[in-house]
Amino acid sequence: MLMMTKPRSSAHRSFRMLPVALAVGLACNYAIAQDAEQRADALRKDLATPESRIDVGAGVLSGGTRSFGLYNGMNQSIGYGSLDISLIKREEETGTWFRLNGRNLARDNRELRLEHERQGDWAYYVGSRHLTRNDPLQINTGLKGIGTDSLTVSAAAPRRNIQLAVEHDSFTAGLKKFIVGGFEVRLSFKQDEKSGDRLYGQGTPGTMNFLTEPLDRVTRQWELIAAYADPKLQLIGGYSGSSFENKLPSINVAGSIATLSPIAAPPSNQAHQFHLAGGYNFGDSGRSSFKLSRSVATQNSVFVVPPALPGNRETSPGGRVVTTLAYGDLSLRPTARLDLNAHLRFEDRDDQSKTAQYTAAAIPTATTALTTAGLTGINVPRSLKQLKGQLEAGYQLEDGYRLIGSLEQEQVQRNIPVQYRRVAYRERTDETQARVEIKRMLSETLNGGLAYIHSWRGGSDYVNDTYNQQTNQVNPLIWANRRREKLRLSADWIPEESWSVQFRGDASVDSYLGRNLGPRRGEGLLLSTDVAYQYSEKWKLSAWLVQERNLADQTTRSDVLAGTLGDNVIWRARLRNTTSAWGFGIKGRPTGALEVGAELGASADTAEHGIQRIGGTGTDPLNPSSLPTYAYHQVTFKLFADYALDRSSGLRADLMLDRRRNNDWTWQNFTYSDGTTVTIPERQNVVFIGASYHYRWR
Amino acid sequence: MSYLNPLPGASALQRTRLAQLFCHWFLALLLAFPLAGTVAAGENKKSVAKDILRVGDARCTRCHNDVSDDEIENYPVLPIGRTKHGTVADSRTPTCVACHGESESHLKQIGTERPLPERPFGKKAASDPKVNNKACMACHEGDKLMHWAGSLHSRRDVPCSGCHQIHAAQDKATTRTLVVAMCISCHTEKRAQISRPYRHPVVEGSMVCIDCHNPHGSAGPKMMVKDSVNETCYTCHMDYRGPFLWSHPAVRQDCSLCHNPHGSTVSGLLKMRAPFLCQQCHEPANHRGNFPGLDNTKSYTPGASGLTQARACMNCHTNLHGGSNPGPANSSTRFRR
Repeated sequence: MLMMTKPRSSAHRSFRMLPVALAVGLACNYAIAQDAEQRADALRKDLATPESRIDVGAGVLSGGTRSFGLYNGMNQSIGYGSLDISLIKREEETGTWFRLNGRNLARDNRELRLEHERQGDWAYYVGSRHLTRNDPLQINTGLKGIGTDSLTVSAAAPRRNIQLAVEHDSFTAGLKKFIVGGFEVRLSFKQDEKSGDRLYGQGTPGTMNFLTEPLDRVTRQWELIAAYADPKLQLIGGYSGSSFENKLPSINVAGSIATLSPIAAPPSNQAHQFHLAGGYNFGDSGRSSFKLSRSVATQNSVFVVPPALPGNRETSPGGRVVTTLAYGDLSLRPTARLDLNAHLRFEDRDDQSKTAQYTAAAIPTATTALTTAGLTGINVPRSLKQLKGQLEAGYQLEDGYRLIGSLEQEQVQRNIPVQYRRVAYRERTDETQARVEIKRMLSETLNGGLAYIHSWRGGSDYVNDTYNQQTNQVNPLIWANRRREKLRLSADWIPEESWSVQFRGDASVDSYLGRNLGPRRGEGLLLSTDVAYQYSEKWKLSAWLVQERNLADQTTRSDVLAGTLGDNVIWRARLRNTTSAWGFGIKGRPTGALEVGAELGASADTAEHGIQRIGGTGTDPLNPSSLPTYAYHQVTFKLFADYALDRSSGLRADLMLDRRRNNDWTWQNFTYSDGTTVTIPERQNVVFIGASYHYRWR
Repeated sequence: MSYLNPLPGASALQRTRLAQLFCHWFLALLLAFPLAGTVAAGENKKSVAKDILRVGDARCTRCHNDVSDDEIENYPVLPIGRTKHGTVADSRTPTCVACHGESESHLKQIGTERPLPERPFGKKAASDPKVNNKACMACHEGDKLMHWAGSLHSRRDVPCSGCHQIHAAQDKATTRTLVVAMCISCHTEKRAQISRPYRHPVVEGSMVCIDCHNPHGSAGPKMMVKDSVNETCYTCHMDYRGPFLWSHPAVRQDCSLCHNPHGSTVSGLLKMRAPFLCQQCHEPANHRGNFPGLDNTKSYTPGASGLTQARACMNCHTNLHGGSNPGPANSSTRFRR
């Protein structure tokens, strides 16, 4: 029968087979698709689930490590371990987080923090940190008693090399609780213990002694905060307290300059502040915020020695400064094109410290000048009031232009110490600043802005110093009459999705007017460019360049003819600091499992002093332009490769080359009176090679 | 040799028919797989359209699911699930549309190019950042952002998304090890300063920009975290708070008059080497106007050269931040003991 059957075409047979095959194919495909879907689901879940990670590794450091190891705990040419952990767990049902973050746990700059939080309900945390600052200076000294508050200077003592270090041990803790209705309370505490020694000194003309400042100090800060927030009104306020405890309040020095011992170390002190801040939204785009605070800082540490003036029975200074702050700002958008902002800030630091005569000196009367030494022996509280206000408007013009204009006024008021001055003093300074800026969205890919800032500082008349006429010729930097012009240009260019270029340029000129000594002129120039380029999906490149130049031009006078007001030798310093820095980075993923990156950066700082005599009639025996240019260069190259062993783990290798050069002459050819010498290595080249293993889990 | 003949005993005709049958099945399967694949893909679409993180997010995550589209992987959205914003149990956390808007035109693609969402962020964001920032401020106003509206960053049109990466598992702006790199991408001059020989431990990440500055604005100058520059410095350097018996006015006014906290080539983070720094304010009487020079005599007699070596002026005036020694005036009031 089969032979009788009319033969059918292959296509027909295929068609007849199709439904069956389709069913089979569908079943297979569905199974495959379901499997793929399950994997995709798992991946999506992974992506949305907090991830924990641990990194364990080791590395070797070699070379001159003093500057390199300033803070990173690697200041010796030895092997180092590395351990970082980030343990994060979240209970999805309750939104409860558990986080344990540890960084550099095997090193001297380790940090550990534990947080437990039910998001939107309560949270608490504890943390600790250890940080060592290794002073890069190499010191050869015979000073005895380092590490204590009793030092003995001895030129005869055998000298040895020492390296100073300061250690910080911090502890933090805090908790917060959300209460119904938008209320929240927070409590925090932080303690920082500082110990070790740092460079110090003691001197009188002809004798300079190297000393160390022993540190055994504790800083504590605590805060109780209550906050409220709803869509219209937000408030936050509370109490903040802090204390500083110095367990070594004096430094006793034996063996030299007996008149300068003991030296009073920073005294223990404390401060308490109550504060309230708030914000209110009105209309669609109006907002106002404020802050009010009142602080009381006191210092009543027992004097390290009795007052020099017989009859003064004070045992502590009775220091007390009350600071009041009031701040408010208002932001409005009256039309879609206009933005307005105004803010006002008032700060009053009222120094209410007790005053008394502590040392023997005649007190000037209303008609007599200061004493011949210019000293009265009476302590001088320093009060300061600052009032600053600003108005700013921004208007959106046609064609994408935006115009911004602002006016700022600042007034600083100081109390006038009639008893003792060593600088030209003025009671009040006023500074007015006007700023105009035009910004434009030049195209969808280019934005730019140009700003011009002009400011003028003046103030009340200088207080005339009847004792020292030279004081009346100085224009002190901090309150001199000053005119400042500044121009700022910025541009962001994103030619295409893969490119971005950012440019910024600042140029400023300060002119100091009035008196003939002190700062005369200042100049600043900053040019910087950042470029980022996404070469492909796998490779990214970046580069940056910064050039910064600052000039301070100032004059003073060498007092060859001591005590007279003759011309003497007037000299000028044109202090020019230049920083040039650039960097280049590349990061990519040549294969799915391998990620690599490299960074090369370099910076150069120079300081020129430009000292020259510009006038006067006196004869100066020394060459006034003998100060060499200071230069500091640093080049750093970093390379890493991270290879994923699987989805959870990987290996990482790091290589770093760090090269520093300087000609810091600060300590060159200088020997302390007891023979102590200090040096900074001129060249420091460091190589670090490290490898680590990391594992991630959810 | 049977392995050479898969059907031993079958006739040539039978073998031909078997071969045909095999070919038909093969062809049918070849046709069926794409078809079945299409059907299965349709099933996939239905299953992808499940909510992933929270109720209602399927309208977005059916496309933005980070796994089905290579392009999307460049802008992953699901890692938001690892963050506080993705903590579903917290009823305050937003949905996609709460931040991005309903975005109906984006959902219904018309033409070849898909319109942007109603409120895109990042490079494609609206030209007026304040519009986008509103989406964030709707929840985050108050607390550390209390003074945002009047802050310099807000007034200079910095968008929240200019710093924050809301969808990233680790937001650069709130991760201590990443925040410095983010800040210096705009504040470029700081990049070189933080590597200078005298500096704070910023490069190491032990101290970062947001320890001193609140980028969201504050009641203090320069967006300091405390009410003034000095109050901010005192949080670590409380040693210099005093109040001292003998005060140095410049120190009381503003630490940054003498120090550059971002880094310096001069020891102590000074803005300028002494004696130049001191000579900017002090009158030149006695030794104070001397020429700076490399001189080891330590005499400091009027008109001599020197004052520059070692700690320069601070060789003698060791307690420049203020002193509390009530001893003899010559040494105490001039910060020498």
